Amino acid sequence: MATGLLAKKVGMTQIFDANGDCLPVTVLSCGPCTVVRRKTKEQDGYDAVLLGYEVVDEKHAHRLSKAEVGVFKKAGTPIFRHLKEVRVKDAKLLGELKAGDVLTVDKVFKLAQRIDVSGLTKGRGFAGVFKKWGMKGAARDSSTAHEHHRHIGAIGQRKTPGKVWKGKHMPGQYGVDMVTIQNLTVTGIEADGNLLLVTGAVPGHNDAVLFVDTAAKGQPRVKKKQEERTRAKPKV
Amino acid sequence: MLRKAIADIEQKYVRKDVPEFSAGDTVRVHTKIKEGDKERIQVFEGVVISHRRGEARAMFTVRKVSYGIGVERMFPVHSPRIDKIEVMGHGQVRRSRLYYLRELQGKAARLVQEEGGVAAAARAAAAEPAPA
Repeated sequence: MATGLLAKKVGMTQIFDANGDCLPVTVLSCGPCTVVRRKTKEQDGYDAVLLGYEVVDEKHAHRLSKAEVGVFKKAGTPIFRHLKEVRVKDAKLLGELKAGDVLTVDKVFKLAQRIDVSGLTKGRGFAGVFKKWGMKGAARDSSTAHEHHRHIGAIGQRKTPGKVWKGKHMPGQYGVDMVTIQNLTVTGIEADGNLLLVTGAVPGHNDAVLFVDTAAKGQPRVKKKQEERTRAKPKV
Repeated sequence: MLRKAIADIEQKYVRKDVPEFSAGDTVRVHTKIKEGDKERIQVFEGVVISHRRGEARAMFTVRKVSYGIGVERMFPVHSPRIDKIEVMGHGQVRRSRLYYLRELQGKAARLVQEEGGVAAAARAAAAEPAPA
């Protein structure tokens, strides 16, 4: 099974968990994704699957190059709007997956597991240092120079170093960055509506296309293991 | 179409047993409190000073004066931690957010009670002898 799926952000809401705690959750419309191509170490140098998301009508095929259409033709699948290659270190993870197989959210993810969500953040255009870097600016009262309230302040020192350091936080384009939010928890899976509920926020606007992957930093330790560890510790 | 998915999810958490109440009402909120593996009920009684609507996301604020100190607590209306909400009486108010009560003390902080509340019914029952 592939480790990730493509998804669309539906929006945020809140739910109550089993303890009665109120959790902020993002609802994702996750998959189903179709395997368009299975890449193998022998043939391609690494193991991966190419996933397709959102079917596009055949009549729009002329908008793609022949080479692009050829990928779908060879796989015998419809044309997809979004493609994403999911690479794995261990070929066993992919098992017997082949072109044409459909992956759904309940097959790929399970409840309470950790996931990473990547996508493009909302565009803020040319933003000032308040919004972009969280700077505080100058005082609002009359002691501050004319129109200096939202300005950046000093940007360097004196003759030494005599230059502005590279990477100095300045105003500029903000947003529309590819960002990955790590270690979000899956709080709900609805196979019927292909819905995935995730604690916390994810990048982008509603309807943004996202990639949901199994957490790179791994899953939380099972409680049983912790108990075993404490038991193994010798008593002083 | 997809926004419907959110509405469906929220609908699952809406409790059907919540009584109708609004700002100005005096309520008793019975909350479940977990201590270790035991569970007990604590009652918070006061005046509702705001009730923000919104399906499962609705919240309300209850204000009371405890030993001369004003105490406010916000509850999610549909929280599973609430055992029950009792409406004790309806106060006459002209706005939906009663934040002005924070500035008032003692007798000035009271609300004129409308007829029909539990407290009013109890008063009426005590005043009038039961019909033979």
